[in-house]
Amino acid sequence: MIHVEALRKTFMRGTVPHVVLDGIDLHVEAEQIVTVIGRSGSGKSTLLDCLMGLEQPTSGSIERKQGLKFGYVFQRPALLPWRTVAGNVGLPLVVAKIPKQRRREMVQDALNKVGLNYAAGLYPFQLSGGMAQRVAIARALVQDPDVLLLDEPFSALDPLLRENMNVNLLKLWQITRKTMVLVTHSIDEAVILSDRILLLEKGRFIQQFDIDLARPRGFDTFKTPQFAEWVRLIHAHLPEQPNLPRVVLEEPHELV
Amino acid sequence: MNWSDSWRGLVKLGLYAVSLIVFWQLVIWVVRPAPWLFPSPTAVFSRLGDLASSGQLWRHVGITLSEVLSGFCGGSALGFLLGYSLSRFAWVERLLSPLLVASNSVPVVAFAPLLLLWFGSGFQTKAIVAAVMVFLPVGLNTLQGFRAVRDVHRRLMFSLHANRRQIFLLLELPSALPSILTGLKIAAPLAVVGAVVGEFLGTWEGLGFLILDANARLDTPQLFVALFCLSWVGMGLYFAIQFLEIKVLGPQMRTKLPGKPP
Repeated sequence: MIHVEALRKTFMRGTVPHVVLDGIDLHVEAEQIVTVIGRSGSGKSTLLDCLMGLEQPTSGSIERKQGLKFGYVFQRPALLPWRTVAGNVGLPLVVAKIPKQRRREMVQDALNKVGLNYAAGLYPFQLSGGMAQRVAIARALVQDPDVLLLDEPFSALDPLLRENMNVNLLKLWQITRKTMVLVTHSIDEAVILSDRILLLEKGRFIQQFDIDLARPRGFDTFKTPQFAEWVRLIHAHLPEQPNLPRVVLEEPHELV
Repeated sequence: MNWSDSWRGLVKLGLYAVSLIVFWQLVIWVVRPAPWLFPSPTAVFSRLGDLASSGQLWRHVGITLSEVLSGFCGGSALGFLLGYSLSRFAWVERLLSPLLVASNSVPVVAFAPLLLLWFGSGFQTKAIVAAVMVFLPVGLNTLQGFRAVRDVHRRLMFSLHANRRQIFLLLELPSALPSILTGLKIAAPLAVVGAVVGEFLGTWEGLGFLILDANARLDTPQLFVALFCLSWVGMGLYFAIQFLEIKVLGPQMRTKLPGKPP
């Protein structure tokens, strides 16, 4: 579906060229969920921008199937506060000049997929963090894209809610079988969702894991020993954090 | 802010005005000032009645109101264009910001005699003085509004391949609107100031003239009538904008009232 070969992306920082992506090969097949793990500044978001065509690669090639449509989910919901939930979900359709009647149907359909039909008339300030991100996912789904790109979509949510959202996303995949490319900091999230995990470090993939956990996956998958084993394995392959400040306690504090 | 709140506010305002008038009459009874120094409410109201029934008052109010409105609308439109182009084009900002800083440090009223020289003593000069008064506050608030557009929203529109016009209509303008409306609210009373200053420079009609005329004849009740009319013109404009604000920003304004879901 998407084939990336020897992708390089260099930004100019003032007059100094800064290599963000340094020879990336990536092959995403239809209905796959592929996850990129890497620390902040490892070039994850730039990779998604390149996949979507928002950024042009400095060198290398990106082959996409003709007419491939993308849906993008940002780190934050990025909902427009003056539009209702339905208005926000319909925004891509307004930009694409879809007629009103058709728009309404498509918005309803997308909200159904994330289970938020009842919230169509609410405003963003009335939503919880999890609901807001589900609206953002509905917005990404509304044009029925072939590929969903998710840039740390749940990093702003608390861990319990995050697991919930992961399971919701798995359910969504079971219904829609959308191809997804996900970027995350969370190993748990990567393992529960993905068919393949790639570790990104200094603009290169340093390791690849093909996750063979059986689908459909759900809450129970978190409890399986296979899940724990995958998480442990990936942890073991994470490069050490350089220059991490050391915390030194001078005196042990006594609790009164 | 919603409609029942507005009505309650209006009733409160009425009660406030009535008690102020009662207090005023009490002061007159106790202090007994000379009528030409500080007239009683009854004297002011009877003068108001005279001026209103002869139709003079409406003519003067109408003239000042149209000066205020045309100055306000023209100045706001230009201010909006200024603010938007400052936010949009860096070269406009580089070109204009020294000029803006310099002109902002002169009281706008001080330009009025110059404007009289350029545009004569007709209607247009008063409207132009009013426009000059509102131009900068609207412009600067517009600039602030357009600068407040969030990057993540820009990125969203970018990812949707929105064109320039769509970005303006769907994102920038709605983002900037609260700030623009604040600017208009600040500008409304300034437009009245501008029109009256324009009238002070020389005219035979308008509320500014009514004040000068009353002053020359020591007709203090008429002066009071003119002052009240001016405050009504200013308040009317202010509340009209507030009405617009509630209409346009309804759902957004409610976000500022915590724990009160509509």
